[in-house]
Formats: sequence, structure tokens, C-alpha cells
Amino acid sequence: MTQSFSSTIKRARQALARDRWVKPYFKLYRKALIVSLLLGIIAMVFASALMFTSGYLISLSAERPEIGVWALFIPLAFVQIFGIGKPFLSFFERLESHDWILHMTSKLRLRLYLSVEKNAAFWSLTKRLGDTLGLLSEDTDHLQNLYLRTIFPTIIATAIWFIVTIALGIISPLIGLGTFIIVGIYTIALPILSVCVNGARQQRIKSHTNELYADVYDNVLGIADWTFSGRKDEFTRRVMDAHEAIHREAHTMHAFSRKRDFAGQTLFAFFVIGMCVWASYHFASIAQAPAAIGVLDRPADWIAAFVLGLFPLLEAFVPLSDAATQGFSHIDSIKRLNALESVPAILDEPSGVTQLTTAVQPEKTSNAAKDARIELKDVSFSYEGKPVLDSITLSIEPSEKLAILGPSGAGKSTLASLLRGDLVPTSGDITIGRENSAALADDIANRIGIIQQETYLFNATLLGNLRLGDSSITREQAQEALIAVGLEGLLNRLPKGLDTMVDEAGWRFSGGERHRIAIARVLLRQTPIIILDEPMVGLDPQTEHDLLSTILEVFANRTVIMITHHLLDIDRFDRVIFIEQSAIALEGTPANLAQMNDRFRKLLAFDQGVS
Amino acid sequence: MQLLDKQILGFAGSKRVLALLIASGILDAAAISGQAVGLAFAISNVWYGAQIADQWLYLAIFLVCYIVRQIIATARSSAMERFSQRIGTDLRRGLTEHAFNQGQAFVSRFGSGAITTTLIEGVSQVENYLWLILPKVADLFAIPIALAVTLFLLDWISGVIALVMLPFIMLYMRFLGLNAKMAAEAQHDRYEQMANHFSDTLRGISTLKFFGVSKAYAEKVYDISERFRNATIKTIKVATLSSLVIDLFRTFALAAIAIMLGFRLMDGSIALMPALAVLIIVPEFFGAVRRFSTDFHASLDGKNQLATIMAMLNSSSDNAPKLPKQAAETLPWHANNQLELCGIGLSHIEEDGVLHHVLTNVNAGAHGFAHIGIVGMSGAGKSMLAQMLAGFSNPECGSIKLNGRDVSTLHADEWCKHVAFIPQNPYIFHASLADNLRFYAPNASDEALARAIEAMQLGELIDELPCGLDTVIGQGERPLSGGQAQRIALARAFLDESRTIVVFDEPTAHLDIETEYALKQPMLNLMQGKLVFFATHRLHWMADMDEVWVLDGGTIAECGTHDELLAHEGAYRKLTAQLRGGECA
Repeated sequence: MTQSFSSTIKRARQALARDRWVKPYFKLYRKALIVSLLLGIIAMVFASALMFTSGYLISLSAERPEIGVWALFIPLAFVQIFGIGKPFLSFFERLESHDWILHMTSKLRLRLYLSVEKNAAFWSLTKRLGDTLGLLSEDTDHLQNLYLRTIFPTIIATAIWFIVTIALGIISPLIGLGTFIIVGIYTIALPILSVCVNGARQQRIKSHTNELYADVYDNVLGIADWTFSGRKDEFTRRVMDAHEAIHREAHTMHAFSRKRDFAGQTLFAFFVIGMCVWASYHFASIAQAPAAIGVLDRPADWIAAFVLGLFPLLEAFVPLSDAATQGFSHIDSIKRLNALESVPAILDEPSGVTQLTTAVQPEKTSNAAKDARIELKDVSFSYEGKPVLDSITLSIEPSEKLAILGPSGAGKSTLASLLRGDLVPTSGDITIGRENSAALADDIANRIGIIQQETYLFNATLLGNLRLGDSSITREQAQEALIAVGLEGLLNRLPKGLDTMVDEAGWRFSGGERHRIAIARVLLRQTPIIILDEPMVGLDPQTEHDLLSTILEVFANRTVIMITHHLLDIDRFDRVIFIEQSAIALEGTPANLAQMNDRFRKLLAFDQGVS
Repeated sequence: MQLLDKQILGFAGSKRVLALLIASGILDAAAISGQAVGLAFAISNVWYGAQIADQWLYLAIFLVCYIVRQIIATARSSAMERFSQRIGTDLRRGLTEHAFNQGQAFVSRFGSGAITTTLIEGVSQVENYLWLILPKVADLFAIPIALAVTLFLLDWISGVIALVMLPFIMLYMRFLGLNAKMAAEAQHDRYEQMANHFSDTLRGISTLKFFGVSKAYAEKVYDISERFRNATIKTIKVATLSSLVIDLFRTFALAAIAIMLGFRLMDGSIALMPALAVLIIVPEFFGAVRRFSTDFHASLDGKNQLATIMAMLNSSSDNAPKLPKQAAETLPWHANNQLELCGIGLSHIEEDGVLHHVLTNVNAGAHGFAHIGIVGMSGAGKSMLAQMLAGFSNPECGSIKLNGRDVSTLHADEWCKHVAFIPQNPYIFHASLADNLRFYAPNASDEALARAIEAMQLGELIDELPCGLDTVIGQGERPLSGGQAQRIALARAFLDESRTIVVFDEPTAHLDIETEYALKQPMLNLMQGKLVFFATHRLHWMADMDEVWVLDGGTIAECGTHDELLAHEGAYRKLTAQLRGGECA
């Protein structure tokens, strides 16, 4: 118990000590934050005050004061103020707090985006892009919940705790102290106890659930194999075992919550009795004193007020324990977001919120960009200590058509990232038109266009996807580009033409069509160099052949560097290089290689099915 | 607003649970009354001048009633936990079994992501929903009615005020429930859109970078987020306005009752004790309604998830068809077996409603351990035919004869059990390499495993892996090359000797030629002594086939051996020319 206590506190402290994702936002829009918290506090005070004044009102009425209804005037007014005020306060509090939290979420998203943008090359290198980024985007939602469901209610409850203690302490230090201790149990002791006992359980449920999620997803993807295996029941059993484990864990957690709530409520019953006894003694003793002139009530009228005023307060304190447990489970999100900024910056590039206003719009291709000569001098690159490319020297002429071949993992794609300046060579120089590729930074987008293996289409209209690089592209230009890449038929088939929404992650289009859209997108940018990174994977030979024809046709005047592992149509390139074991193993025109090189000839024959 | 999903009442035991909840709700109301009266007596006696020390009996009544309420709440909570977990268990088991019985067709229809999310998140949300909503529905009726009785006994005027207010609140809730539901749904959609947009942008970040607009996009991310904020605030205003009105009703009623009590206390028509008791009871009277309306919104997700689960469960009742017994007995496939396809037709409707990949009038036969190549242009129906032969789907017309006996389908466990299917991208499970290899034959001996590794030339990969055969591979682990994944799939098939039918569906389409070249021997090893169907567009394999089926436009245009077909001008010769990337394109 003590061990779990200290380790829990340690975890929370560690996560929050160097936190730069939660704490700084308290300073942001501070006015709105203070207003919403104040509204929350006053609403709670009003709820209690309504019962308080009602209790006083009827006790006073029971005195049957001689001046009649007039005596009730002030308490009546208060009953009405509190009765009507409370709902309005809650209303504005909800609006204010949501407004604040959503403001903050916008900032969080922007910040997350900028950190990811800064290290885009790193993310693509680690190959866990999709999952991690999905997780990070969920984390911002978790932070939102942390504020709304844990932090705000805790602040409001703490304020109420002090207000009630001080108010009662002024009347009598004894009841003030008692209230301080009892309400403190609800505000501090029970939430901390809950986190210590249930925090770890909640974490375990979360990690069990994540494991089950990964396991089920993995096996749903491999469902065809399960169908063939004839072992389907085995999998059902596996799922149900994990499910039972989660239920067992949840049960111990809920059982504790029930015991805790039972204890908390029983304590409250004693609190009410205690208050009743104190109020009786306190006000009964004052009652002995002679009433001042003009005072119509007796001190005993306050007894009911104090006792009844307690009940609404329960509402502010009971949910705190579960909220704390929930909040604790978001610690992982805080950690993940904070870890984000310690991602090794491969390319150090100043970036931050301040840069937002100066965000660069792509400039029109300058004259310098037209010089498309590429030079690689003795370029090496290693990643995590392993050499990926080793002293590559290569020069590529403007409008040359170059094919780079080689087995997967030989470093072909790394070469593309180096050319683009996303990665900086460990040693050696890469120049594009006499300028260092890494130094070109974002201007590189005006020199090199890339078509990747997986074309990423954004969940926007087709036009929006084509306009990605340059919003000044007209509908006509976009249409022409689509026609140029042979998508006229598709364009006519689409219900809303250019304004058709591309389905999520672009699955509406076939592989070939997606590639053609990517080609059109690059075609619309006037980049002198085009890199095709294994664009044909997964396409059938006919489509592949047609696509290559389109590429060579529309990019006739530009440099085309195609990374591939297929020899189909290889004779249509000016030059072929083979990269093997981090180095250039073979180089020459296709015709030359076919004549001179035995291995190339054998592969060519195999590829064409004439074995 | 529908209070309770009809589907909930369909769950076993739900009516009993509801009855128990209503009974305990009435008991709870009785305890509320006892607690209020006890406290009111104590306070009013002291007010009239008695000593608080003499009020211990009334305070004890308050305490006991208060504790009884906590006992009821605890008992209810654990009963509801048991009930919702039981239903959750049933749903999860049912859905898992259903999905794995239906197989690939089910996944294609609902999407692997949606199935997983429903199975994990969806079921827990339904559990929560049941746990939350059932007691609230019971209380919505039990508490106000039972407390109304107490109110009337204490002071009939207060009872009347409360009872008059109640239908107003209920009516208003019904009206606003619809509004709030629509608002909540609209907001939920918008939220999804927003969240999707954000993760869409993050996922596409390298594309944005390639176009040099990734920095400019930051502004867009912020803009959209801010637009979403404005929209959300608008919907929250609607929803919060409704709870404002309910709250106003409630506090109005309380204030009205307090004021009425005040006046009547003044003229002496009521004593202090009942007045105080009424004042304690009234908030509880409306509390049940308010708790229902707060949780109603929280439970909307669970309600929608329940509908999704039910739709998935009811999607198809076609559970694993069986082969006729006599036909099934002839399996595993051996040298004298005979399969005939007569007039097979099969179509496939994609989501956009367009008919795709149609097979029409396919007539063919396979005998013993024949090796049959299936070739044709894209869209000719190669994959479809291969998948039908592997038992993925039922033909829509025509008949299949297994050793002369009519079987309407090969989509049956008895057939699949003997088939090894090698697709273009074999799936590698997140498990150790050994477990991946033993997937079809969990009990295969180490010697058999070693033979399979040898035959499929997996030694090199095993040497590369840090823990050899025990290295965990698959999703999120060290990426395998296409060739390595294919070798694992081949070894998996090789290891299970009872699988004497091998169906290849474009197994090398995505591999580079060198890899394909290296895989040729392992694949030929697997094919030995088995019936093989090999759908591919890589024609060099045809030299190793006993027979080639040339598909064109969904039907078999030509069949014969590789050499026979090449010997004359026909569909095969045409195809050969086309696939070499000739001028015919």
C-alpha cells in the first residue's frame, strides 16, 4: 500500500515535473479560465445557499412574526435569487469552460502539428507513422478531458472547501476545524487513496484493452488464415480469456469504488448529524440572550439552514475520486506528448508557433530552380550506426531518365530522401543546380516532385488534392492535368467531377488511378526533377506499362529518377544503375547492359517470361 | 425520446433486473422519506426548545435510513455490474464467433478497423450504457411516484405542486430529448470530421512536405480547429439551454414549495416538522429526473454501438456450410480424386454498386496432383476463380462435382481444412516466427519444422533475426521483405501435410524479379505431390504446369499445356505478347 502510494505519486510527479503540454496552458486565455472557474464556484455556493435560505425561511415563518409577510421579504428574495441564479450560472459556466478548453485544443493541435512537421523525416524513417500519429491526435482529446473532468472540478471543489471552512470558522472555530477536516477527506484524502488503489488497476485495464485491441486487429486482418486453419474456436477462447481478465480487474476496481463511496456517504451522514448537534448547541445558547430591538427571528431559526445547506455540497465532492482516477490514467498521454519534443531532430530547422505567421507560400519557380543538374560526391549515410549508403558518386543530367534498381533494403529510398534534403548525408555532398540540397530547405519542393509507392490522398475534394502545392491552380489547369495523365474517363465518371470528395485515405480509387492522380499533382508543379519511388508496386503489368508511358510522355522535358525493382520497359530509360549492399554495383544504358552484362540479361529474360 | 432500447428487453434476464431495480427504487424512496422525517423531527423539536441530546432516536432514524440507502446503492451497483458484464460477455463471444465463421466476406463488408473497434470499444460502451441507463430508467418512475405518496402524507399542497411540475418537466424533456439528441449527433459527426481531418493531416505530413506546404498547413489546422470550436459552442448552447430550462423548473418548484410552506407556516396551517421534511424530499423528487437526463446524453454512444453490434450479428445467418458427407469423406485430396466445374458463374458487387470481375460459364476439370496455371489479363477473373477454388465464395450458378458427387460449394470447413492458400500479400501474425510457421499445424514436431525451413530456404532469415525462431514478427515489429513473408507463408503451408491442395493467387506479383527467381525452387518444392492451382500473370511459371487455363473475359478461352498453347495462334500467344509490354497496349 505505502509502496503503491509512493510509486503512484512518483509517477505523477515525474510526468508533471517537466511537463510543457498541460501547465503552460493555464496562462493562456487566463481571463476566460478564471471566469469559468468563478462561475463554477458561485454556482455551487448558490446551490447550497438555496437550501440554506429555504431552511431559514420556513423556520422563520414558523415563528409567525407579528408583522406578517413583510418579515419574510428578505429571505424570500434570496430564495428567488439563488433559485433562479443557480441554473443560469451553471449554464454560463459550461459555455465558458468549453470555450476555453476548445481554444486550448486548437493551440494544442497546432503545436502538435508543428512538432510533427519539424521531424517529418524522422517519422517516415521509423515506419510507425500512422499508429503513433493516430495516438498523438487522440492524446489531445485526452488532455481536453483531463481539464474538463478532473482539473476543473477539483479546483472548484477545493475553493468550496476553503469557502465553507472559512465561513463556518468565523461563526465558530470548532465547526470550522471539523468542516476543514471532513471536507478535506473528500477533497484530498479519498481522491489520493483512489488513485493509489485504483490508478494501477485502471492502467492495467487500459493496457489489457490495448493488447486485446492489437491482438484482435492483427487476427481480423489475418482472418482468411483462421478460416483455413480450422482453429477458429481457439481464437474465440483467446479473446474471451482476455475479456474475462479485463472484467476481473474492473470488478476489483469497482468493488473498491463502492466501498469508498459507502464510507464517504456514511461519513456524510455523521457530518449532517454533527452539524445538527453543533447548530443546536450553538444557536440554543445564543437564544438565552435577550433579542435585540427590531430583530424578529430567534437564533434557533438558523439550525435548519445550516443542516439543509450541507446537502447540495455533496454533489461537488463525491465525483472527485473517480475523476482523479480517470485523470491519472491520462498521464501516459502527457508523457507521450512531452516525449515528442525530444525526438532527435535529424534536420535542425527552427520552427515554432511564432513561425506560423510567416509560413511560406510556395514561390513560383525561380530561374535558379531550372538548373536541374544533380551531383552526388562521395555520399555516405548511416542510420543507427549501420551504413545504408556508402560513398555514392553520381551525376544526373537535366531531363535524363534514370532507373535505380536493386533489392529492397539496399538504400534506394534513402537515396531519394537524401536528394530531397530530408536526410543529411553522414559525409559527402549533394548539390542540385550547384546548391546544397539540405540547404534548400522548403524550396526543395520547387525543384523536386515525388511520387511515392503509396499515394496519400487527403480527405478533401479531388480538386483540393490537386491544388495541394499551389492554391492558384485553376479548375481548367487541374482538368488538363487529369486529361494528360489519362484520367479523362474517371473525371467524367465521378458524380461531382473535380468536386468529388476523395474517401478517407483515398480508397475510392484503384491503385492505378491513385498513381495517376499523384502524377497529375506533380505535373501541376513545375518542378524540373521528378522522383518516382517504386510507383508500380501492386499494379498488374498492363497498368504498369500504361502508367510508365504516361510518365515518360508528360515528363519528357524533366529529369525522371525512377526507383524500381521491375525490369519491365527498362529499355525506355537512358541509364540504369543497380544499388546493392549500399553501393552502385552496375551502371550503363539498358542496351549496353543487356549486351555486356550476363546477370542483367538473365534477369531480363526471367522477367519477360522466356526462361 | 425513447426511454429504453427495445433490444435491451430482449436480453436474457433484463426484465427481472428491471423489476428488481424498480422494487429497490421504491425501497430507496421509503428510506429517503424516513431520513427526511427523522432529521425534520430532530430539528423541529430543538427549534421548539427541546434538547438535542434527547433527539437521539430521530437522529438514529436519519442515520439508519441514510445507510440503508447506501446499502441499496451498493447492491444495485454490483448487480448492475454483473448483469452488464454478462451481456458484454455474450455479445463479445457472439460477435467474435460470428466474424470468424463468416471470415473474409464479413471483414470486406464491415472493414477490419470497424470490426475491431466494435468488438472492443463497442462492447464496453454497451456495458456502460446498460449499467448507467437501466437504474436511471427504473428510478425515473419509482422514485417520483413513491416520494409523491410521502409528500401527500406530509403536506398535500406541496405534493400537488411537485406532481404538477413533473409532467411539465417530462414533456419538456421529451421535446428537448429529441432536440438534444439531434444536436448531440450533429456535434458527434462534426467532431468525427474534425478529428479525422487532424489525423488525416498528420498522416499525410510527408506529402505536404514534398509539396513544400507543410508549414502553411499549420494555419489551416488551427483554422479548422477554431471553426470547430465555434460550431461546438453553438451546439453546446442548445444542449445547455435545455438543461437550464429543466434546472429552472426544478428550482422554481423548490422555491415555490418553500414559499408556499412559508405562508402556511405563518398562518399556522402546517407545522415545522412536515415543512422541513418536504424541503428535504423535494430535491430528491426531481433528482431522479435530472440524473436521467444527464446520463441520457452520456449513454448515446452506447446506444449507437448496440445498434452497430446488432447489425453485425444479424448480417448473415449463413454459418459455415457443409459438404455432403460422402464427398467430405473422400478428402484429403489424393492422386485419384477428381474435381469438375460445370458452367460456373460468379459476380462480385463492389461498394459503389458496380458489378465487377464476373466469371461466366467456366467449365474445367482437375485430376489427381495436377499443376494447373490460371492466366489472363487483369480483370479476366484469375483471382476470382482461384479464390472460389480455395473456398472463399459460393458460385452463383453451375455445379461443382467432387469425385462425381455434386457439392454446391467449396465454401466449407471440410474443404478449407485441406487447402493451402498463398495470396499476393500473405498475412504475418504478430507472434513468434515459430508460431507463425505452425499456424496450420500447431502440433508439428521440431523435425518437421526444420524440414519446412530447409525446403523454403528460411535459414537465412532465421540467422538474421535476433532470437531466431522465437523472434516476434508481424505488425509493428521489424519489417519483413515481401520475399521473406512469402517464404513464411510457403513454409506454413508445407508444414501441414494434410493440405494437399495448394492455391496460389498472384504470389509473386509484388516481388522484384530477383526475389521471385530465388523463390522459384521453394515454391516448386511445395507443389510436389499436390493439386495446384496457380493464378498469375508471370508466364515463366507456365513451363512448370501440367495444364494452363487461359481466362479471357471471365471464361476459359483456351486450355492445354504451355507448349501446346504456344504452338498455335490463340489467346495464350496473344497474352504472351501483351504481358511482355508489347505495342499492343
